[in-house]
Amino acid sequence: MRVAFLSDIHANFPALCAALERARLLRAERLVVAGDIIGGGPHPVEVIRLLQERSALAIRGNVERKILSLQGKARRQKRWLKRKNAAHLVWTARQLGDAEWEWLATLPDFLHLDFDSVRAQVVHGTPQSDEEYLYPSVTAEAIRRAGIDPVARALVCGHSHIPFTKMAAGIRVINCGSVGRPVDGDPRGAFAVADFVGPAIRCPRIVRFRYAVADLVADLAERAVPGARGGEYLRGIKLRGV
Amino acid sequence: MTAVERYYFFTGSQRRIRDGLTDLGYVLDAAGDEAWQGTFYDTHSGSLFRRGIRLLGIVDPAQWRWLRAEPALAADALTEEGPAVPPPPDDAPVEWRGQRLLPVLRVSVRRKMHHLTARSGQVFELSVSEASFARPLVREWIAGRRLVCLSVPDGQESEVAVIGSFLRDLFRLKPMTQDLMVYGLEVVNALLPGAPVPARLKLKTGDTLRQGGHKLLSRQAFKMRANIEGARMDLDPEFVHDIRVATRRARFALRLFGEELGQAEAEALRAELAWIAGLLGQVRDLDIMRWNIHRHADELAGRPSVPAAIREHMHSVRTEALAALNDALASERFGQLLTQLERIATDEGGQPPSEPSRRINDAAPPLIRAAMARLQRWLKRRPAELTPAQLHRIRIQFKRLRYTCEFFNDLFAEAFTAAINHCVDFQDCLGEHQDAQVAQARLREMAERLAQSGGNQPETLIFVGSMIQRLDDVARDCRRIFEKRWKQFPRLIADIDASMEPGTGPEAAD
Repeated sequence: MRVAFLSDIHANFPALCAALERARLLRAERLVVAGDIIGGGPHPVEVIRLLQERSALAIRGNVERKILSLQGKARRQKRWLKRKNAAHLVWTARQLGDAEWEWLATLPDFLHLDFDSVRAQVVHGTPQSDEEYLYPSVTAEAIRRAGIDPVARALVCGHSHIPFTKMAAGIRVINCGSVGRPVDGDPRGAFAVADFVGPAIRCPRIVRFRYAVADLVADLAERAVPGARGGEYLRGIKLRGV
Repeated sequence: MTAVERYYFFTGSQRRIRDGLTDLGYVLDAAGDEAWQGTFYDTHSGSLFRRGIRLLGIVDPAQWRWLRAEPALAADALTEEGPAVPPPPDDAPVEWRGQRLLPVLRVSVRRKMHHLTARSGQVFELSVSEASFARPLVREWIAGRRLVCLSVPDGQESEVAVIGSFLRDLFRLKPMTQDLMVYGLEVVNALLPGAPVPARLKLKTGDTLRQGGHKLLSRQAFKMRANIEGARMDLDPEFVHDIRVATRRARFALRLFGEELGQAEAEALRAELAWIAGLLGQVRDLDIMRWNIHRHADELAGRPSVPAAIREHMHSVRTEALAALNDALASERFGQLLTQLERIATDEGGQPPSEPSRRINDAAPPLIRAAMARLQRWLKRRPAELTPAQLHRIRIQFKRLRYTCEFFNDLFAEAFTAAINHCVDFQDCLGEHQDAQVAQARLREMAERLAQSGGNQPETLIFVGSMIQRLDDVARDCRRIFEKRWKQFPRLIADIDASMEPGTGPEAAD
C-alpha cells in the first residue's frame, strides 16, 4: 500500500491542491496529515473542507491546539490579537465555521496506523511533545529515548518544516517537511511517500512539488492575514519566528 | 440592484465542477437559462471606471445594473439609482446626475444559471456564460471565451472567497483578473474609458530630453487615437475637443523639443498637425459657439429661444465641417501622421542629434522658467490698456506655460500640479473672453450671410443684436476678473519656482 504523508499545510490551499494532485499521480492510496493543517495561511476553511472531502487521516499540531484554545474565548482572542506572533491564530479562528471547529475538535494528538503488517506512529513534533523538533541530524540514541510505540517500525512527523527520511535505531523516521510553508530555501512544497508491503517499508522518499505561489501571495494580501510575508513563500525561507 | 461578480475562464467539463462542489458539501440546483444584451456606460472622462464602478444598461427587461469591479470596494460607493430613463436600445447617450453617459461597450450574454447553496445556507449564483462583445454602434459581435461567473448579492461575500479558491485551485479555472467590461474592451481591442495614459509613456527622472520628447508625442498620438471613434460617431463634442487639445500639445511639444527630435522632421510634422488642427477648430469653434448661444440666450431678458434660422444655419455649417473632419480622420494622411508622431525620436524614425541629449530633469526647469519669463514681460503693461488681441496673445502664452508645466508634471511633486491648476484659472478666464469675441464676430458674419440668402427675419436680427450685446458684457466681465487675477501672477511664478526646487519631486516624497 502506497501512503502519502503530508504535514504543515498551514492553510495554503494552492499548495495542498498541488500536493494532492501529485499524490494522485503517484497512485497514493491513503492520505495521512501530521498536523499544523491551518494557521499562518489565508485558506483555513478551504483546506479543512478539502481534507474532509478526501477523508484524510489527520492529527492536530501545535497550531490547531492553540487555535482550539481560542474557541469561544473572546478576551483571549483580544489579548492574542495584540501579540505579533499570535494575531494570525486569532484571524484563523475567526474564519472557521461550526463544521470546521467540530472537525478540528475530533482530531487526535497522534495516530498508530497499521499498514499491512507494519505499524507507523504519526506525531506532529515528537512522541513526547508537539513543540519538539526532529531534524535530519537526529541520532539513534535520541530515537531510542523518544518514547516511540515499541511495536512501531516507522515514525512519521512534521513540525520542523525540514523534510528527511532516515533509519535510526531500527526505526524508519520520516519527516514530511511542509506542504505549505517550506523554510529550507526551496520554495517548493514537500511531502513524503512510502510503500508498505508486508513487513517492509519500501522506497520512503520526499516529494517536492511546485504550486502557484503568486496566487497564495495575492490571497495573503487580499485577505489581510496578520503578519504574513509573501516574500518568505516566494523564497522558501523564514525571516522570523512564526 | 448591486452585486459582486467574479469571473473565471471555463475549461474542462461542467460535470466535474458540479460533482466536485457537491462532494465539498454544496448543493447545486439548475436555475434555468438567461440571455440578455446590454451596454456599459461611462462618462467621457471615464469617471465611473476610475472609481471601480461599472454601469450596465440592459434593454430587455429594461434595468440599470451597478457593478463593483473590485470586491474590496465599499458597497456604499455604489448608488442604487440609475439614470431616470430606461436604457436606450440604440446606444444613445443618457443623462445621469447632470453628466452625459456614453456607451462604452456592448455585451451579449447567454448563461446557464445554477443556484449554489453553501453549508451556511447562503445561496449564490453560479453560471456558465458565453459572452460576445461589440463596440458601440457597431453591429459586429466578437465572441469571448466561455466564462464561469460567481455572483453574490452585496453583503454576502464571506463564502465567495472559499468557493473562489475551489474554482481556482481545485478545478483549475483561471480567474479573470479584469471585470467583464475591461475583458470585453480587450476582446474588441478598444481602450479603457477615459483612455488613461499607459505607464510606458510617463516621464521618468533619468530620461533624456529626446526620450521625453518621444514619450510626450506618443502620448498625444495615443490620446488622438483614443478619441477618433467617438469623434467620427459624434457621440459627444468632447471627443473632438480632446483630439484638438492633443493636436495642440503635439504641435507645442514639437516646437519645444524640435532641436532634440530633428528640426526638419519636427517642422514637417507641425505643418501636418496644422492641417488637422484647422479642421478640428472649425467643428470645435461651432460647438463652443452653439453652447455659448444657448447659455447666454437663457440669460437674456425674456429668455428668447434661439431663432430657427440661426439653429439651422449652425447645424448645417457644423454638419459640413464635421463631414470634412471625418474624412480627414479616416484618411491615410492622418494615419501616417499618427504613426510619425509615435515613431519620432525612436531608432526607427528621426535623426539623432549631433550632441548627446540632456537629462529631462535638468532641462525642465529652464524651459519652464523661459515660458514664465515670456509672460512676465506683460507685467509692465497696465491690464486695463490691453487690447483684445493682446489678451489673446497672453492667453496663448499661458497655454504654452501650462503645456510646458504639464509635460514635466511626472517629475515634480503635488505642489507643482496645484500651480498648474492656477495657470488653468488664468487660461479659462482669458479663454472665455476670446470665445465671446469670436462668437460676436461669427454672429455678425452669420447675420450677413442670412441677409444675403434672403432668410433674415426681424426676430433673428433682434436676437443677434441682443446676443452681441450680451457677449460684450461677458467679455467685459472676463477682463475685470483677469485684471484682479493678474495681480496674483507674480505669486504664481514664485509657487512654480518653489515647487521645482531639488528634493521636491515624487521620488523625494517617497
